[in-house]
Amino acid sequence: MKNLISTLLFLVLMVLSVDAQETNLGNISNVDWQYDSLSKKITISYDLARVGAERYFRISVDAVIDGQPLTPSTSALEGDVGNYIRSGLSNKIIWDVTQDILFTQNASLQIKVTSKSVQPTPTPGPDPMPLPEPNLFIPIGAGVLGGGLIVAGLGNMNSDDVKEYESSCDPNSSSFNSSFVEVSGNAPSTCDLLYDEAKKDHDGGTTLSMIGVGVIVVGVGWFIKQKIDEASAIDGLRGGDDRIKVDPFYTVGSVFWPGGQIGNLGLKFTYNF
Amino acid sequence: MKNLLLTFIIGCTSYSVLAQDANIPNSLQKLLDTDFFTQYDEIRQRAHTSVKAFKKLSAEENYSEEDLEIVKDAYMASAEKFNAILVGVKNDLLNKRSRKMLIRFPDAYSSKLEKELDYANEYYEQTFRKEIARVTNGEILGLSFMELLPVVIKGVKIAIQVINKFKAEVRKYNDAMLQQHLVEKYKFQEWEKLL
Repeated sequence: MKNLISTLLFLVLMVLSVDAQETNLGNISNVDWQYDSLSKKITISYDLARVGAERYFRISVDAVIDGQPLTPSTSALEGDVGNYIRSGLSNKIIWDVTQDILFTQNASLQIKVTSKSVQPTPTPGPDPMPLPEPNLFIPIGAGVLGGGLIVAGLGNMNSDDVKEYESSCDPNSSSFNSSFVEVSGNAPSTCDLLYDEAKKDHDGGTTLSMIGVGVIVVGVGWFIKQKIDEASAIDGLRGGDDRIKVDPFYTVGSVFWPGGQIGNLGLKFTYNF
Repeated sequence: MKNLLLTFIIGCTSYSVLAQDANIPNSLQKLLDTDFFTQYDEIRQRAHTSVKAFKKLSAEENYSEEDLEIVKDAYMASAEKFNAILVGVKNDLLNKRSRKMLIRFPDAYSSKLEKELDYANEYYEQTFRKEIARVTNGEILGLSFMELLPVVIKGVKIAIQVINKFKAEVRKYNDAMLQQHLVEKYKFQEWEKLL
Protein backbone atom coordinates (compact mmCIF):
# COMPACT_ATOMS: atom_id res chain seq x y z
CA MET A 1 0.00 0.00 0.00
CA LYS A 2 1.42 3.27 -0.94
CA ASN A 3 0.35 5.40 1.87
CA LEU A 4 -0.38 8.99 2.55
CA ILE A 5 0.62 11.53 0.03
CA SER A 6 0.82 15.10 1.01
CA THR A 7 0.62 17.87 -1.43
CA LEU A 8 2.90 20.70 -0.51
CA LEU A 9 0.68 23.37 -1.90
CA PHE A 10 -2.68 22.27 -0.57
CA LEU A 11 -1.61 20.22 2.44
CA VAL A 12 -4.00 17.56 1.38
CA LEU A 13 -3.64 13.97 2.41
CA MET A 14 -4.73 11.27 0.06
CA VAL A 15 -4.61 7.51 0.34
CA LEU A 16 -3.95 6.03 -3.04
CA SER A 17 -4.12 2.53 -4.25
CA VAL A 18 -3.99 1.24 -7.78
CA ASP A 19 -6.06 -1.65 -8.83
CA ALA A 20 -5.60 -3.05 -12.26
CA GLN A 21 -8.94 -4.53 -12.94
CA GLU A 22 -8.40 -7.23 -15.47
CA THR A 23 -10.95 -7.44 -18.22
CA ASN A 24 -11.70 -10.60 -20.06
CA LEU A 25 -8.65 -9.77 -22.18
CA GLY A 26 -6.53 -10.15 -19.04
CA ASN A 27 -3.41 -8.72 -20.60
CA ILE A 28 -2.51 -5.94 -18.16
CA SER A 29 0.04 -6.60 -15.45
CA ASN A 30 2.62 -4.89 -13.23
CA VAL A 31 0.51 -1.82 -12.66
CA ASP A 32 2.26 0.83 -10.61
CA TRP A 33 1.82 4.52 -10.00
CA GLN A 34 3.62 7.54 -8.73
CA TYR A 35 2.20 10.78 -7.51
CA ASP A 36 4.13 13.95 -8.17
CA SER A 37 3.13 16.35 -5.44
CA LEU A 38 4.57 19.33 -7.30
CA SER A 39 2.80 18.87 -10.58
CA LYS A 40 -0.06 17.06 -8.87
CA LYS A 41 -0.02 14.45 -11.58
CA ILE A 42 -0.22 10.70 -11.24
CA THR A 43 1.94 8.58 -13.49
CA ILE A 44 0.51 5.12 -13.99
CA SER A 45 2.70 2.46 -15.53
CA TYR A 46 1.62 -0.96 -16.72
CA ASP A 47 2.65 -3.83 -18.93
CA LEU A 48 0.37 -4.71 -21.80
CA ALA A 49 0.72 -8.17 -23.29
CA ARG A 50 -0.34 -9.31 -26.74
CA VAL A 51 -3.47 -11.40 -27.07
CA GLY A 52 -2.82 -13.93 -29.77
CA ALA A 53 -1.66 -11.99 -32.83
CA GLU A 54 -3.30 -8.78 -31.64
CA ARG A 55 -0.93 -6.05 -30.47
CA TYR A 56 -3.25 -3.05 -30.21
CA PHE A 57 -5.84 -2.36 -27.56
CA ARG A 58 -8.15 0.27 -26.17
CA ILE A 59 -6.95 1.35 -22.76
CA SER A 60 -9.12 3.21 -20.33
CA VAL A 61 -8.72 4.45 -16.78
CA ASP A 62 -11.41 4.54 -14.14
CA ALA A 63 -11.16 5.74 -10.60
CA VAL A 64 -13.06 5.40 -7.37
CA ILE A 65 -12.73 8.27 -4.90
CA ASP A 66 -14.08 7.61 -1.44
CA GLY A 67 -16.32 4.96 -2.93
CA GLN A 68 -17.62 7.24 -5.66
CA PRO A 69 -16.79 6.15 -9.21
CA LEU A 70 -15.11 8.70 -11.46
CA THR A 71 -14.05 8.51 -15.07
CA PRO A 72 -11.11 10.83 -15.65
CA SER A 73 -11.78 13.34 -18.38
CA THR A 74 -10.04 12.69 -21.68
CA SER A 75 -8.21 16.00 -21.52
CA ALA A 76 -6.72 15.07 -18.13
CA LEU A 77 -5.11 11.90 -19.47
CA GLU A 78 -2.17 11.59 -21.75
CA GLY A 79 0.21 8.86 -22.79
CA ASP A 80 -0.63 5.25 -23.46
CA VAL A 81 -4.36 5.57 -23.05
CA GLY A 82 -7.17 5.44 -25.58
CA ASN A 83 -7.53 3.50 -28.79
CA TYR A 84 -4.72 1.70 -30.63
CA ILE A 85 -2.28 1.36 -27.74
CA ARG A 86 0.48 -1.07 -28.66
CA SER A 87 1.36 -3.91 -26.32
CA GLY A 88 4.65 -3.46 -24.51
CA LEU A 89 6.38 -3.08 -21.19
CA SER A 90 6.14 -0.04 -18.94
CA ASN A 91 3.43 1.78 -20.83
CA LYS A 92 2.71 5.09 -19.15
CA ILE A 93 -0.36 7.18 -18.53
CA ILE A 94 -0.14 10.62 -16.95
CA TRP A 95 -3.25 11.82 -15.18
CA ASP A 96 -3.58 15.47 -14.31
CA VAL A 97 -5.78 14.77 -11.33
CA THR A 98 -6.48 18.40 -10.58
CA GLN A 99 -8.74 18.51 -13.63
CA ASP A 100 -11.01 15.86 -12.16
CA ILE A 101 -10.62 15.76 -8.40
CA LEU A 102 -11.50 18.31 -5.80
CA PHE A 103 -8.93 17.55 -3.13
CA THR A 104 -10.21 16.57 0.24
CA GLN A 105 -8.30 15.37 3.24
CA ASN A 106 -7.68 11.64 3.52
CA ALA A 107 -9.50 10.89 0.29
CA SER A 108 -9.05 7.33 -0.77
CA LEU A 109 -8.41 6.82 -4.44
CA GLN A 110 -8.51 3.63 -6.43
CA ILE A 111 -7.46 3.54 -10.06
CA LYS A 112 -8.52 0.86 -12.49
CA VAL A 113 -6.79 0.32 -15.80
CA THR A 114 -8.71 -1.74 -18.30
CA SER A 115 -7.90 -3.12 -21.70
CA LYS A 116 -10.38 -3.88 -24.42
CA SER A 117 -10.25 -4.59 -28.12
CA VAL A 118 -9.78 -1.57 -30.34
CA GLN A 119 -12.95 -0.07 -31.68
CA PRO A 120 -13.49 2.06 -34.75
CA THR A 121 -13.79 5.73 -33.96
CA PRO A 122 -17.46 6.61 -34.31
CA THR A 123 -18.03 9.00 -37.15
CA PRO A 124 -20.47 11.84 -36.57
CA GLY A 125 -23.37 12.09 -38.94
CA PRO A 126 -26.50 10.24 -39.88
CA ASP A 127 -27.24 6.60 -39.17
CA PRO A 128 -24.51 4.62 -40.91
CA MET A 129 -27.10 2.18 -42.15
CA PRO A 130 -30.05 4.24 -43.36
CA LEU A 131 -33.04 2.19 -44.32
CA PRO A 132 -35.87 3.49 -46.46
CA GLU A 133 -38.56 5.36 -44.56
CA PRO A 134 -41.57 3.08 -44.05
CA ASN A 135 -44.36 3.80 -46.50
CA LEU A 136 -47.21 4.95 -44.28
CA PHE A 137 -49.51 5.95 -47.12
CA ILE A 138 -51.01 2.49 -47.52
CA PRO A 139 -51.58 1.68 -43.81
CA ILE A 140 -52.97 5.16 -43.09
CA GLY A 141 -55.09 5.08 -46.25
CA ALA A 142 -56.35 1.63 -45.35
CA GLY A 143 -57.16 2.81 -41.84
CA VAL A 144 -59.16 5.78 -43.11
CA LEU A 145 -60.94 3.80 -45.82
CA GLY A 146 -61.61 0.85 -43.51
CA GLY A 147 -62.81 3.15 -40.75
CA GLY A 148 -65.09 4.94 -43.20
CA LEU A 149 -66.56 1.68 -44.43
CA ILE A 150 -67.17 0.51 -40.88
CA VAL A 151 -68.87 3.79 -39.96
CA ALA A 152 -70.99 3.61 -43.11
CA GLY A 153 -71.80 -0.02 -42.37
CA LEU A 154 -72.80 0.76 -38.81
CA GLY A 155 -74.92 3.61 -40.12
CA ASN A 156 -76.72 1.22 -42.44
CA MET A 157 -77.15 -1.30 -39.67
CA ASN A 158 -78.85 1.41 -37.63
CA SER A 159 -80.90 2.95 -40.42
CA ASP A 160 -84.37 4.35 -39.81
CA ASP A 161 -85.93 1.20 -41.23
CA VAL A 162 -83.92 -1.01 -38.92
CA LYS A 163 -84.75 1.18 -35.93
CA GLU A 164 -88.41 1.24 -36.85
CA TYR A 165 -88.51 -2.50 -37.31
CA GLU A 166 -86.78 -3.10 -34.00
CA SER A 167 -89.06 -0.75 -32.11
CA SER A 168 -92.24 -1.91 -33.81
CA CYS A 169 -91.81 -5.54 -34.66
CA ASP A 170 -88.85 -7.13 -32.85
CA PRO A 171 -89.91 -8.25 -29.40
CA ASN A 172 -86.26 -9.10 -28.57
CA SER A 173 -85.20 -5.49 -29.10
CA SER A 174 -84.83 -3.23 -26.09
CA SER A 175 -86.71 -0.51 -27.97
CA PHE A 176 -89.65 -2.77 -28.79
CA ASN A 177 -93.06 -1.21 -28.20
CA SER A 178 -95.87 -3.75 -28.85
CA SER A 179 -98.55 -1.11 -29.25
CA PHE A 180 -97.20 -0.31 -32.73
CA VAL A 181 -97.67 -3.85 -34.04
CA GLU A 182 -100.30 -4.12 -36.72
CA VAL A 183 -102.12 -7.27 -37.63
CA SER A 184 -104.02 -7.37 -40.91
CA GLY A 185 -105.44 -10.52 -42.40
CA ASN A 186 -103.48 -12.35 -45.10
CA ALA A 187 -101.86 -9.25 -46.55
CA PRO A 188 -98.21 -8.73 -45.72
CA SER A 189 -98.03 -7.01 -42.40
CA THR A 190 -96.22 -3.71 -41.94
CA CYS A 191 -93.62 -5.68 -39.99
CA ASP A 192 -93.07 -7.99 -42.98
CA LEU A 193 -92.55 -4.99 -45.22
CA LEU A 194 -90.36 -3.30 -42.67
CA TYR A 195 -88.41 -6.49 -42.19
CA ASP A 196 -87.42 -6.65 -45.87
CA GLU A 197 -86.17 -3.06 -45.82
CA ALA A 198 -84.47 -3.43 -42.47
CA LYS A 199 -82.82 -6.69 -43.50
CA LYS A 200 -81.57 -5.10 -46.68
CA ASP A 201 -80.03 -2.23 -44.69
CA HIS A 202 -78.67 -4.53 -42.02
CA ASP A 203 -77.09 -6.95 -44.50
CA GLY A 204 -75.62 -4.10 -46.52
CA GLY A 205 -74.24 -2.53 -43.35
CA THR A 206 -72.75 -5.81 -42.20
CA THR A 207 -71.07 -6.31 -45.56
CA LEU A 208 -69.67 -2.78 -45.56
CA SER A 209 -68.37 -3.20 -42.01
CA MET A 210 -66.73 -6.51 -42.84
CA ILE A 211 -65.08 -5.00 -45.90
CA GLY A 212 -63.91 -2.13 -43.67
CA VAL A 213 -62.40 -4.55 -41.17
CA GLY A 214 -60.77 -6.42 -44.03
CA VAL A 215 -59.24 -3.22 -45.41
CA ILE A 216 -57.86 -2.35 -41.95
CA VAL A 217 -56.45 -5.84 -41.56
CA VAL A 218 -54.72 -5.49 -44.94
CA GLY A 219 -53.31 -2.10 -43.87
CA VAL A 220 -52.03 -3.44 -40.56
CA GLY A 221 -50.62 -6.49 -42.34
CA TRP A 222 -48.84 -4.23 -44.80
CA PHE A 223 -47.35 -2.20 -41.95
CA ILE A 224 -46.18 -5.32 -40.10
CA LYS A 225 -44.69 -6.71 -43.31
CA GLN A 226 -42.75 -3.49 -43.75
CA LYS A 227 -41.41 -3.68 -40.21
CA ILE A 228 -40.46 -7.31 -40.74
CA ASP A 229 -38.70 -6.50 -44.00
CA GLU A 230 -36.82 -3.70 -42.30
CA ALA A 231 -35.79 -5.95 -39.43
CA SER A 232 -34.75 -8.64 -41.91
CA ALA A 233 -32.66 -6.13 -43.76
CA ILE A 234 -30.92 -4.98 -40.60
CA ASP A 235 -30.34 -8.54 -39.43
CA GLY A 236 -29.25 -9.67 -42.86
CA LEU A 237 -26.88 -6.79 -43.46
CA ARG A 238 -25.51 -6.35 -39.99
CA GLY A 239 -25.09 -10.05 -39.44
CA GLY A 240 -26.55 -9.76 -35.98
CA ASP A 241 -29.00 -11.98 -34.18
CA ASP A 242 -32.32 -12.40 -35.89
CA ARG A 243 -34.99 -10.17 -34.50
CA ILE A 244 -37.56 -12.27 -36.26
CA LYS A 245 -37.73 -15.83 -35.16
CA VAL A 246 -40.03 -18.58 -36.19
CA ASP A 247 -39.45 -21.61 -34.04
CA PRO A 248 -41.38 -24.80 -34.56
CA PHE A 249 -42.22 -26.43 -31.25
CA TYR A 250 -43.59 -29.71 -30.06
CA THR A 251 -44.40 -30.39 -26.46
CA VAL A 252 -45.73 -33.54 -24.89
CA GLY A 253 -47.76 -33.44 -21.71
CA SER A 254 -49.96 -35.94 -19.86
CA VAL A 255 -51.90 -33.68 -17.56
CA PHE A 256 -55.08 -32.96 -19.43
CA TRP A 257 -55.47 -36.14 -21.39
CA PRO A 258 -56.78 -38.96 -19.29
CA GLY A 259 -54.82 -42.14 -19.72
CA GLY A 260 -52.51 -40.76 -22.36
CA GLN A 261 -50.33 -37.98 -23.61
CA ILE A 262 -51.23 -35.02 -25.69
CA GLY A 263 -48.86 -33.16 -27.92
CA ASN A 264 -48.79 -29.53 -28.87
CA LEU A 265 -47.40 -28.82 -32.27
CA GLY A 266 -47.03 -25.39 -33.72
CA LEU A 267 -44.94 -22.45 -34.68
CA LYS A 268 -43.78 -19.76 -32.32
CA PHE A 269 -43.39 -16.42 -34.06
CA THR A 270 -41.28 -13.81 -32.29
CA TYR A 271 -40.60 -10.32 -33.49
CA ASN A 272 -38.55 -8.02 -31.32
CA PHE A 273 -39.33 -4.41 -32.11
CA MET B 1 13.43 -25.90 -83.81
CA LYS B 2 14.09 -23.75 -80.78
CA ASN B 3 11.76 -21.07 -82.15
CA LEU B 4 9.07 -23.63 -82.79
CA LEU B 5 9.34 -24.88 -79.23
CA LEU B 6 9.23 -21.31 -77.89
CA THR B 7 6.16 -20.55 -79.99
CA PHE B 8 4.51 -23.70 -78.73
CA ILE B 9 5.25 -22.80 -75.10
CA ILE B 10 3.97 -19.23 -75.57
CA GLY B 11 0.89 -20.63 -77.31
CA CYS B 12 0.23 -23.03 -74.46
CA THR B 13 0.68 -20.28 -71.87
CA SER B 14 -1.69 -17.96 -73.71
CA TYR B 15 -4.24 -20.71 -74.03
CA SER B 16 -3.90 -21.47 -70.35
CA VAL B 17 -4.48 -17.81 -69.42
CA LEU B 18 -7.46 -17.58 -71.76
CA ALA B 19 -8.86 -20.82 -70.39
CA GLN B 20 -8.54 -19.46 -66.86
CA ASP B 21 -10.39 -16.27 -67.78
CA ALA B 22 -13.05 -18.31 -69.51
CA ASN B 23 -13.75 -19.96 -66.17
CA ILE B 24 -15.06 -16.73 -64.76
CA PRO B 25 -18.76 -16.27 -65.42
CA ASN B 26 -19.55 -13.17 -67.42
CA SER B 27 -21.53 -11.67 -64.55
CA LEU B 28 -18.68 -12.19 -62.09
CA GLN B 29 -16.22 -10.62 -64.48
CA LYS B 30 -18.54 -7.63 -64.83
CA LEU B 31 -18.79 -7.44 -61.05
CA LEU B 32 -15.02 -7.54 -60.69
CA ASP B 33 -14.70 -4.82 -63.29
CA THR B 34 -16.69 -2.36 -61.18
CA ASP B 35 -14.93 0.46 -59.35
CA PHE B 36 -15.43 -1.32 -56.07
CA PHE B 37 -13.04 -4.09 -57.02
CA THR B 38 -10.68 -2.16 -59.29
CA GLN B 39 -10.11 0.53 -56.66
CA TYR B 40 -9.98 -2.06 -53.89
CA ASP B 41 -7.20 -3.66 -55.88
CA GLU B 42 -5.45 -0.29 -56.01
CA ILE B 43 -5.71 -0.06 -52.22
CA ARG B 44 -4.06 -3.41 -51.69
CA GLN B 45 -1.37 -2.62 -54.28
CA ARG B 46 -0.52 0.51 -52.29
CA ALA B 47 -0.25 -1.52 -49.11
CA HIS B 48 1.96 -4.05 -50.88
CA THR B 49 4.15 -1.27 -52.26
CA SER B 50 4.56 0.18 -48.76
CA VAL B 51 5.59 -3.19 -47.38
CA LYS B 52 8.08 -3.76 -50.20
CA ALA B 53 9.58 -0.31 -49.68
CA PHE B 54 9.94 -0.96 -45.97
CA LYS B 55 11.52 -4.35 -46.55
CA LYS B 56 13.98 -2.81 -48.97
CA LEU B 57 14.93 -0.10 -46.51
CA SER B 58 15.12 -2.49 -43.57
CA ALA B 59 17.69 -4.54 -45.53
CA GLU B 60 19.92 -1.47 -45.55
CA GLU B 61 19.15 -0.11 -42.09
CA ASN B 62 19.71 -1.79 -38.79
CA TYR B 63 16.22 -1.87 -37.35
CA SER B 64 15.67 -3.93 -34.24
CA GLU B 65 14.05 -7.31 -34.50
CA GLU B 66 11.28 -6.06 -32.27
CA ASP B 67 10.50 -3.13 -34.54
CA LEU B 68 10.51 -5.36 -37.60
CA GLU B 69 8.12 -7.66 -35.82
CA ILE B 70 5.87 -4.75 -34.82
CA VAL B 71 5.60 -3.43 -38.39
CA LYS B 72 4.95 -6.90 -39.73
CA ASP B 73 2.24 -7.57 -37.16
CA ALA B 74 0.64 -4.18 -37.84
CA TYR B 75 0.50 -4.96 -41.55
CA MET B 76 -0.83 -8.46 -41.04
CA ALA B 77 -3.53 -7.27 -38.63
CA SER B 78 -4.56 -4.51 -41.08
CA ALA B 79 -4.54 -7.02 -43.93
CA GLU B 80 -6.76 -9.29 -41.90
CA LYS B 81 -9.32 -6.51 -41.46
CA PHE B 82 -9.39 -5.74 -45.20
CA ASN B 83 -9.50 -9.39 -46.15
CA ALA B 84 -12.42 -9.94 -43.79
CA ILE B 85 -14.39 -7.46 -45.90
CA LEU B 86 -13.81 -9.54 -49.00
CA VAL B 87 -14.84 -12.70 -47.21
CA GLY B 88 -17.95 -10.85 -46.02
CA VAL B 89 -18.82 -9.84 -49.59
CA LYS B 90 -18.28 -13.42 -50.71
CA ASN B 91 -20.57 -14.73 -47.98
CA ASP B 92 -23.22 -12.12 -48.81
CA LEU B 93 -23.16 -13.19 -52.45
CA LEU B 94 -23.55 -16.83 -51.47
CA ASN B 95 -26.30 -16.20 -48.93
CA LYS B 96 -29.76 -16.00 -50.48
CA ARG B 97 -31.14 -13.74 -47.76
CA SER B 98 -28.19 -11.34 -47.85
CA ARG B 99 -28.36 -11.20 -51.65
CA LYS B 100 -32.01 -10.30 -51.49
CA MET B 101 -31.40 -7.66 -48.86
CA LEU B 102 -28.46 -5.97 -50.54
CA ILE B 103 -30.51 -5.67 -53.73
CA ARG B 104 -33.51 -4.28 -51.83
CA PHE B 105 -31.48 -1.93 -49.65
CA PRO B 106 -28.41 -0.86 -51.65
CA ASP B 107 -27.91 2.27 -49.51
CA ALA B 108 -27.85 0.27 -46.32
CA TYR B 109 -25.45 -2.28 -47.78
CA SER B 110 -23.22 0.45 -49.11
CA SER B 111 -23.18 2.05 -45.64
CA LYS B 112 -22.32 -1.27 -44.08
CA LEU B 113 -19.31 -1.71 -46.37
CA GLU B 114 -18.33 1.91 -45.86
CA LYS B 115 -18.28 1.37 -42.12
CA GLU B 116 -16.15 -1.75 -42.48
CA LEU B 117 -13.76 -0.08 -44.89
CA ASP B 118 -13.45 2.98 -42.66
CA TYR B 119 -12.54 0.78 -39.72
CA ALA B 120 -10.00 -1.22 -41.72
CA ASN B 121 -8.51 2.00 -43.03
CA GLU B 122 -8.40 3.55 -39.57
CA TYR B 123 -6.66 0.45 -38.25
CA TYR B 124 -4.15 0.58 -41.12
CA GLU B 125 -3.50 4.28 -40.47
CA GLN B 126 -3.25 3.97 -36.71
CA THR B 127 -1.04 0.89 -36.69
CA PHE B 128 0.90 0.09 -39.86
CA ARG B 129 1.41 3.61 -41.17
CA LYS B 130 2.19 4.98 -37.73
CA GLU B 131 4.67 2.21 -36.97
CA ILE B 132 6.37 2.33 -40.35
CA ALA B 133 6.88 6.09 -39.94
CA ARG B 134 8.19 5.65 -36.39
CA VAL B 135 10.59 2.83 -37.21
CA THR B 136 11.98 4.52 -40.34
CA ASN B 137 12.05 7.94 -38.68
CA GLY B 138 9.67 9.24 -41.32
CA GLU B 139 11.70 7.98 -44.27
CA ILE B 140 8.74 5.87 -45.33
CA LEU B 141 5.27 6.98 -44.42
CA GLY B 142 3.32 4.21 -46.05
CA LEU B 143 0.83 4.96 -48.79
CA SER B 144 -2.56 6.26 -47.78
CA PHE B 145 -5.88 5.02 -49.14
CA MET B 146 -7.86 8.04 -48.10
CA GLU B 147 -8.76 9.40 -51.52
CA LEU B 148 -9.59 5.92 -52.85
CA LEU B 149 -12.15 5.03 -50.23
CA PRO B 150 -14.97 7.25 -51.55
CA VAL B 151 -14.49 5.77 -55.03
CA VAL B 152 -14.67 2.24 -53.61
CA ILE B 153 -17.81 3.10 -51.67
CA LYS B 154 -19.40 4.68 -54.73
CA GLY B 155 -18.60 1.48 -56.59
CA VAL B 156 -20.70 -0.60 -54.22
CA LYS B 157 -23.98 0.60 -55.65
CA ILE B 158 -22.83 -0.06 -59.20
CA ALA B 159 -21.71 -3.51 -58.11
CA ILE B 160 -25.17 -4.08 -56.63
CA GLN B 161 -26.74 -3.05 -59.93
CA VAL B 162 -24.62 -5.69 -61.66
CA ILE B 163 -25.67 -8.28 -59.06
CA ASN B 164 -29.30 -7.31 -59.60
CA LYS B 165 -28.96 -7.49 -63.37
CA PHE B 166 -27.42 -10.96 -63.28
CA LYS B 167 -29.46 -12.30 -60.36
CA ALA B 168 -30.01 -15.71 -61.90
CA GLU B 169 -26.32 -16.19 -62.65
CA VAL B 170 -25.20 -14.88 -59.27
CA ARG B 171 -27.41 -17.50 -57.63
CA LYS B 172 -25.19 -20.15 -59.21
CA TYR B 173 -21.94 -18.86 -57.74
CA ASN B 174 -20.28 -21.27 -55.39
CA ASP B 175 -17.81 -20.87 -52.58
CA ALA B 176 -14.80 -22.23 -54.47
CA MET B 177 -15.43 -19.93 -57.43
CA LEU B 178 -15.72 -16.79 -55.31
CA GLN B 179 -12.81 -17.82 -53.12
CA GLN B 180 -10.62 -18.12 -56.20
CA HIS B 181 -11.73 -15.13 -58.24
CA LEU B 182 -12.80 -12.70 -55.55
CA VAL B 183 -11.02 -13.44 -52.28
CA GLU B 184 -7.68 -14.88 -53.38
CA LYS B 185 -7.30 -12.44 -56.23
CA TYR B 186 -8.02 -9.30 -54.23
CA LYS B 187 -6.82 -10.16 -50.75
CA PHE B 188 -3.87 -8.46 -49.07
CA GLN B 189 -0.95 -10.82 -49.44
CA GLU B 190 0.97 -12.34 -46.55
CA TRP B 191 4.02 -10.39 -45.41
CA GLU B 192 6.41 -13.16 -46.44
CA LYS B 193 5.10 -13.22 -50.02
CA LEU B 194 5.81 -9.54 -50.59
CA LEU B 195 9.34 -9.32 -51.93
